[in-house]
Amino acid sequence: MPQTVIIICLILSVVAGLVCAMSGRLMHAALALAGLSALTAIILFLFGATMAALFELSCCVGLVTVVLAVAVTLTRPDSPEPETAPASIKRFSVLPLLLIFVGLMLLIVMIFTGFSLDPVTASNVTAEPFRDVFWGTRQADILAQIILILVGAFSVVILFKESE
Amino acid sequence: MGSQWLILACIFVPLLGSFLLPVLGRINTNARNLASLLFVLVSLVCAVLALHPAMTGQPLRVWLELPQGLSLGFLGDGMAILAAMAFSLTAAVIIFYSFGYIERFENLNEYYFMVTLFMGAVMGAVFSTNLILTYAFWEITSICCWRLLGFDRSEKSIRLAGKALLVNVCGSLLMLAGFISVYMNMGTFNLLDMQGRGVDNWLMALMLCGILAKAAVLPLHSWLPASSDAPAPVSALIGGAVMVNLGVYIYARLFLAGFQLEPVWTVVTPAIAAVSALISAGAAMRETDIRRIMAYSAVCQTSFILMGVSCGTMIGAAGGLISILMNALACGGLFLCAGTVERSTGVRDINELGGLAKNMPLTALSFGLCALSVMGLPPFGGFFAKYMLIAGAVQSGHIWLALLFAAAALMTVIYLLRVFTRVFFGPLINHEATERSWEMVVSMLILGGLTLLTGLFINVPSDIAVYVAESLGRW
Amino acid sequence: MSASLASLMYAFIGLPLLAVAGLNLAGRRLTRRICRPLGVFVGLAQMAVAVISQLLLLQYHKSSVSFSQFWDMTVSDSAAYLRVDAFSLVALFCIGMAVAAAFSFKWFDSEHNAFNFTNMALLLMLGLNGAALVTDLFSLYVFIEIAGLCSYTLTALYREERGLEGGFKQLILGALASVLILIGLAFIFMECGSLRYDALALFFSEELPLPILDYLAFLFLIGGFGIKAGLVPFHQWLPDVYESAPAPVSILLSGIATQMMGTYALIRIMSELKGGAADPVADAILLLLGLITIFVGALAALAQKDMKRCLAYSSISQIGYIVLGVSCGNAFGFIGAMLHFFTLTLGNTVLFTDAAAVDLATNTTDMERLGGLQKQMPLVGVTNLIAFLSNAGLPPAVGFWSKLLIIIAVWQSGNGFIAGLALVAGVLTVACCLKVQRKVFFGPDVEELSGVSAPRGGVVVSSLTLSGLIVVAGLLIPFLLRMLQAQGLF
Repeated sequence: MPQTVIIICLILSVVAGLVCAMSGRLMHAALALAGLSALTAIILFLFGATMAALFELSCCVGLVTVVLAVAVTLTRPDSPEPETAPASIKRFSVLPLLLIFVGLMLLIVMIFTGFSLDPVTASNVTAEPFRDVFWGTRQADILAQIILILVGAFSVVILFKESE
Repeated sequence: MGSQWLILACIFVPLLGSFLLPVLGRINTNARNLASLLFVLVSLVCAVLALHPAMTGQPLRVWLELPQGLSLGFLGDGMAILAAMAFSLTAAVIIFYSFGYIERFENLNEYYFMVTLFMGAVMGAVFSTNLILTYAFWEITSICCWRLLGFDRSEKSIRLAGKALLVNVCGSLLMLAGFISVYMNMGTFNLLDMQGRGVDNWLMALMLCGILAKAAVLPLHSWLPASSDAPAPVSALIGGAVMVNLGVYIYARLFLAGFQLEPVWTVVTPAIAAVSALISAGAAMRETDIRRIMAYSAVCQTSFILMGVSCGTMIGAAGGLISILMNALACGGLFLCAGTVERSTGVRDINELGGLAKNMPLTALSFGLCALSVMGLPPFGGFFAKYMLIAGAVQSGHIWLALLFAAAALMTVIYLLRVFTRVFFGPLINHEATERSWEMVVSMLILGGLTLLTGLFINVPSDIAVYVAESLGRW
Repeated sequence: MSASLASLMYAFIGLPLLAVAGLNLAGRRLTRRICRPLGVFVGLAQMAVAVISQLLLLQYHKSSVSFSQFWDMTVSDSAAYLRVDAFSLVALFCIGMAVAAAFSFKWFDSEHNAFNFTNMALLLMLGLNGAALVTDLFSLYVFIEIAGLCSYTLTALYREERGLEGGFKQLILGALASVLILIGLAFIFMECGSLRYDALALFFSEELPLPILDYLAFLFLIGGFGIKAGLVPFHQWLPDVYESAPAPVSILLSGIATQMMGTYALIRIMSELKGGAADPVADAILLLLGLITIFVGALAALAQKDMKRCLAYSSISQIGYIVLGVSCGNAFGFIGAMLHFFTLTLGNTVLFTDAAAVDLATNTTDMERLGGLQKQMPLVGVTNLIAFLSNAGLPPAVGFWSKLLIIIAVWQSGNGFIAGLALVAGVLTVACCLKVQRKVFFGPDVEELSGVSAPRGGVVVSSLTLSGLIVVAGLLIPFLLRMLQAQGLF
């Protein structure tokens, strides 16, 4: 039963991703991204990674989508008439085909390696309290996250701010 | 360390000192010129001083231990000393010649820098006992050669210099591949450990590629006549005196004092050399550009030396070693004289030259002395060298080789006489030609005189050469 | 002793972080003016710290030092600790050097651009430093992502069409690379349960043959890092990006960023994961790709008309040599690869600095229109020659030794013919060097360029110093080998 749900979620998330990449309107793309993140959170939860699902839901779906929506509404990029759906689908028509091809390849890989979609946990996942993992085991990643935030902020400023 | 610093000084004084020359040149150009000459003279003096230990069987040695068989070392044995003396002496005279010749060119800092660096690298290659070090110095000479050949920055010389570099680098990379194969087989790059050990034929072929390219022996000789467009001292240094002779010296170092070859190579290599000598002598007979004639002549004479060291007899080997000295002096002198003629008359075609003995008697004298030595007539040094070479060919049992070389020697006489009489005798065509600067004249006379002196006092160099050849101990 | 050494290492993270903080928090007028000196200072300081650290490591006879940021290092399974060993120190030194060189000249007319560049460059430096320091594959990935993001933004710094296109191209290919890398990491994680270097080394040394998932993982990792490194056939983006990026950005990218993100990661992963087990499939693929890269890069370089593209293809060719060294799988090969990494960063930094100087002075990098610049810019010509000869592997530059070590390592691992081919391919690089020299410097004078003046100041200083370093390092390599022998590596 969980397996079918996972497969459905995977397919839906691929569709959401395609919509996000191919859409001609920024708002639609942002919403599709939110849907993609939500589906990913569900999949993570079904696989038993509750902490990861929690973060995915709160950060990606909540925070990112809200920020993106606010930015889009505030800036109102004055692009010309946004692309109509048929036009943008035509522009990116290769993308779904590419994805199907990649999916088939991965399917072949799966069969050869005896992959299964049963939710499994990594072989030696310990029951460490989360805070030990977060602050102890992965300190380097915390540092990396701080730097990433700085990078993101600066990139936005550089790329979008009008020079004085 | 003791007196080992002699060897180190011989190599590193010009090598490192050359870097000072551009700086010196900004302060005072005369100081720079003299410093360049001084560095090379230091090499000469050190080589002479190191001769005695070499002759008494205890050559000076420098050694740096490294892992994986990469140990570096220099050895001042008889063969190396002989070559070092020959090269540094000729180079010193050529530098002296440049004082008068090169002044009208630009980029003189680079010129003196490259020439001195070149000589330092030559000394390094001569003394090195480690194949990697030999390769390293060898490549440095190629790079210096490139910069020097393209010295006047004209479109044509740049292209030809680039071609020369590519030919040389190709050859030396093949040689390096051979060296690394040898290393894989024997576990070391040290020549001293490899004495008397055999190498596969195809490895020999690889290493020969590099040597043929450097020594400008057919079929890899094409870059040398093209170098005749470079300034005369550059041609002399690279084509006549030093670089091509370095090629044959390395052959001697690798295959006489180093590996043991299959007997087939005592036929193949001399045969290649014979073909090269004949064809280049033929080309020299037909050319009309005086400097190109000298270039082909250099190819021919170098092929002689290669034949001598490769034919597998002691006399031949000794003859080859002596020839390195004689060839450096005489061919170097010929190049310088040709350069003087070109500079004075502005003409390179021998059909437009004539009767210069009247206006430029000293040049004619030097040319004559050097030419007689190259032709191999007594009492000049070249006679003894050629005699030993051909005797070596005879003794090796391949009479046909000796005959081919005798033929090439005859052709040498012909083409040199042709040039000599055409240019210096006969009615005077170029009236305004005069002897130019005294430095040029003196240097030519020195080289010409030395060819005569080394013949008169032949026992000195020949003793060294015979001693070296005998001590190789494989006859 | 260990504590003092460890506290020195914090400088690698602290210095750029403090610089960024200081730059943004201090008064605006002050910071705008000190951008350039700050960048140079941070770069030079990092070089100094790297050298001092290596000397301290040698003095205390340790091969590496681990240090943790805030918490106790004794926490088990900790991915917290950062580690510094010889390879990292070489990489950190090169990072500092490239950053100092990129800041060496007043490239930017507007202070606004200079400020943006400084911020991004320092963050790039942070990301690369982190990649050199971590001991966990996932952290390596994250820091490489940071560096990647910075390089995309840097390429698009001027927000004009060329830069934006270059940045976007990099972004797409970088995203593809990230996906491949993550898949590889996921496969490895599935098998081993940990992504830390020591755990993985243990795991890979025990089991042989490896489960098929691990072979696949290596394939994906090679693919992903290959894209980042510019390995053929993933190299298409590299010349375009180098050409379209602003001058100091191309110095940073070619000098260190692509090297770190791609080849250093490959060296690190393959050397850490080796243990006792050799993965013959990955080695064979790396060998093949390396050889193809050498030839394709060199041949393509000969056909280029633009100076920067020519240099870009030539550097792709050198990356092939590094990958050849990695494919040997023994200590000799990795040392050779790391040494060639050093050579390549030095060489590329000098080459692209000179190209930028030429561009600045003549407003073009089209080799058909350039010529005879040796007279106007003698020092630029000489440093260009030295760097190119180093890349080509000619003595006495350090490139000769690094290439030699790689060739010997490949030969020793049984691929004599391939090693010979790689050796002879050096001719192609020499030909490329001759072409650039002939067209740009060492040739007859060109009329229009007679009024061009030589660049002065920081550019000359940095390229001269680095070329000097190339030659001096080449002369000192024999002593380095002795040192390594004393440490028992041979």
